[in-house]
Amino acid sequence: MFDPLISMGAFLAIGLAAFGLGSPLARAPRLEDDLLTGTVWSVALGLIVGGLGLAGLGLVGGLYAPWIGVLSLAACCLGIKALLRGHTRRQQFDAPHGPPAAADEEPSWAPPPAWLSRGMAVLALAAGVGTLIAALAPPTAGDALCYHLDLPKTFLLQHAIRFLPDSDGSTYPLLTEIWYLWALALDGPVAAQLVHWGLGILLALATVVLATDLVGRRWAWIAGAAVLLIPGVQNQMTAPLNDLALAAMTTLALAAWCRAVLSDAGQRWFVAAGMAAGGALSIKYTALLFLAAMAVPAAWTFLRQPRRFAIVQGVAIVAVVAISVSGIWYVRAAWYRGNPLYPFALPAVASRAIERQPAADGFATKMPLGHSPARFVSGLWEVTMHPERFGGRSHQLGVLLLAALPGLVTARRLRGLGTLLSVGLVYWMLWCLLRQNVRFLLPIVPLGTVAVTWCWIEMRRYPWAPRLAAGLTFALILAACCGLALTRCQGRTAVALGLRSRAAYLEENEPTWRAATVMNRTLAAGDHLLSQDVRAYYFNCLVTREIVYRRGVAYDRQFTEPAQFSQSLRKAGFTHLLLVENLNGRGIAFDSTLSRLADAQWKTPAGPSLVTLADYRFQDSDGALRHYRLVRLGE
Amino acid sequence: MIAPLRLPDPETVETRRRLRRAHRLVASTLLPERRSSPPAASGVPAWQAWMVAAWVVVVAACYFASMLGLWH
Repeated sequence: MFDPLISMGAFLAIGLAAFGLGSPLARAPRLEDDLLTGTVWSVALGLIVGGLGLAGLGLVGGLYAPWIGVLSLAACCLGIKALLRGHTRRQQFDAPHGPPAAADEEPSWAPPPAWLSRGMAVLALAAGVGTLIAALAPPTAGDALCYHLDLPKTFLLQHAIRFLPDSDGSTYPLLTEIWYLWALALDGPVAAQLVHWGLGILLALATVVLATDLVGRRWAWIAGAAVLLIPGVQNQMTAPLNDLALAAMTTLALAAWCRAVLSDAGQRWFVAAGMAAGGALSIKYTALLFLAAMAVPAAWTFLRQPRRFAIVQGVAIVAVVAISVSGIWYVRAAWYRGNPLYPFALPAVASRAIERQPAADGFATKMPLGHSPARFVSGLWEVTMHPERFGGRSHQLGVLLLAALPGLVTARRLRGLGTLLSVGLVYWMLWCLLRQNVRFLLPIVPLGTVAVTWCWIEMRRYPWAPRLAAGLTFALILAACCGLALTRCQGRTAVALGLRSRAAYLEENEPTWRAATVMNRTLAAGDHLLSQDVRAYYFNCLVTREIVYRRGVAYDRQFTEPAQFSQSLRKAGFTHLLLVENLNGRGIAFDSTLSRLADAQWKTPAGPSLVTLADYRFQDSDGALRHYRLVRLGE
Repeated sequence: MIAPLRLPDPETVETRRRLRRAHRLVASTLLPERRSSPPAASGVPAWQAWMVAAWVVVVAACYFASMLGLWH
C-alpha cells in the first residue's frame, strides 16, 4: 500500500540532494540568470557531482546502503538550506546585475495566445501524469533488467564498482547507472525508474532554457511542453534506460554554449557547457557524436566572429572541464579492455564485436537506411513512418517534427536557430553513418522542438485558412500524443496507486519473476546463474549471460560427452541455469545451445544431476510464448 | 534659506520631449535592431502557406494510417 509513497519519497530525496549539491556549484559561476535556469543547472550539476562521488566511493569499495543513506541525508540538508535561500535569491534576480537575463528580454513578436499556452500546459501535464503512473509500476523493460539496473544491483551486492569480464556494459560510461544505484540503495527499482522519469522533466526544462535565448521565455515553455509530447520521450520516462539522461545533458551543454557565444554572457557559461558535456560523456558514448556535431557551428563561429581568441579559449575550457568530469570512465575502459571506447572504435575489437552477431542480423537491423546519401535525405520520413525498422515503435519520435520542420522554408531567419539546426543536421548524418536506432536521436529532439516552435510563431503570418488547417492538424497530433501517454497507465494504475502488490504485477508481466522468486527463496552465498535470458535484475545473485560466456570461453566445446556438461559448468563456478525457448517464433529468438546441451544430459544416466526447480510457460505482451526452466546443477 | 520651488517651463519640457524622440529616431536608424529580432514581419504568400498546410495534413494522415496498419 505504501510502496509507491516510499518510492516517491526516495526519488524526491535524490532530487533534493542533487539540488543541494548543485546549488553552490551553480551559484559560484553565477549560472542563476533566473529562477528556472538556476534550478535546472543546480539539479543537473548536483546529479553529476553526486554520481561522480558515488562512483568514487564504489571504486574504493564503499558502496554500502546505510552509508549512501547517511550521505543522501546530509545532501538533503544542503538542499533544504538552498531552498530556504530561495526568497533571497528571488530578490537577487529582481535586482539588476550584469547583462540582462535571457528570460527578461521580450522578443519582438507577440507572445503565445493564452489558449495555446494553457492547452499545451494541460497536454504536457497529462502526459507527465500518465508517464508518472506508468513509472510507478515495477520495471519490466528488457534493456533495463539486462544492464541499466542489473549492473548497479551487482555493484551494490559486491559493495564496489568492479570489472565484470562477462559483462560488456561494466566498462561503459555509467553515470546514469550510478544514479540508479543511488535509488536502489534508498528504495528499489521503482525509485530508479522514477529517476529516469525525473530526467525527462529535466530534459523538458532544459529545452525551455535552451529555447529562451531564441524565442523568448513564454514561447520556450511551448517548446518544453512539446518535448514531453514526443512518444519516444514518454516511453523512456516509463523505463530506467539512459537516453533521456543523455539528451538532458547534451541540451544543457548546447544551451550553455549558445548563452556564451550567441548572447555573449561571459566565460562562465563555457564552464557550464563543459560540465554538462562531461556529464553527457559520462552517460553514453553517443555524446561524442553530439559534441562532434557541436564542433561544426563552433568552427563556423570561429571563422565569422572577430573574437577568435575567445572562441578558442571557450573550446579549450569546454574540453578541459568535460574531460576532467568524464575521463574516469574512459580511463577505466582503457585499463581493463585496452580500448577507451570498448567495444567500439578500435578495429581489432570492433571486428570481434561484429563477429559475435550474424551479418544479416547485425547490418540489416542496425543500418536499415544503408549508407546511400539519398536515404539520408528521406530518412526522417522512414524513421517517422516505419519506426519498427529502427529499434521499435515504442521509441519513435512521432510525426510532429516531420510535419512541422518543412515550414521553416517560409519562416524568417532567427538568430541562433542556424546553430541548432546545423548541430541537428550533423548529428543526423553521423547517426545515419554509425547506428540507426531511433533511441539515439533523442538528443536532437529538443533542437527540433525549438525549430517547431519557431514555425508555429511564423505560422501567424499565414492567411487564416491555411493557418487554421495546419493548426487543427497540429492540435490533433498533439492530442494523439497526449492520449498515447495516458494509455501507458493501462494495467499499471492499480499497482502504481498501491492497490495491487508489486509481486502480483510482476508475476503477470515479468517473464523471469517466477524463476527469480524460486531461486531467491533458496539463495546461498556464492550462487551463480548462467542465463539464456538477458533479464537478470530480479535474481539476487551474480548472473552471467550465456551468449557472452560462450563467446568468451567456448564452454560448449570443452567436453566430449553430454553427461560431462553440468560438471563442466559446475567447475566453472555456476550453480544454476535459466533455460529459455521461444515456442511460437514471435518476439526475441534465443540461441538454443544451452537448452540443447541440458536436454542432451537429461537423456543420459547423469541426467538427475540437473534438478529442475521451476518449469513454466509465459505469454509476453508482444505475443511471444516462451518456456522457462530454472535448473540447479547437482554435485 | 530654502530654494523656491521652480516649476518646469512647459516649452522646455516639450522641447526636451521632441529632442528625445529625435535621438531615438537617429539611434534606431543608425544602430542595428535587437540581435535576436528577425526581419520585419510581413504576410506569407498564400500559395506557400497552403503548401505547408497541405504537407502537414498529408504527413499526419500518412502517419496515422501507418500506425493503424492501414498503409505501408
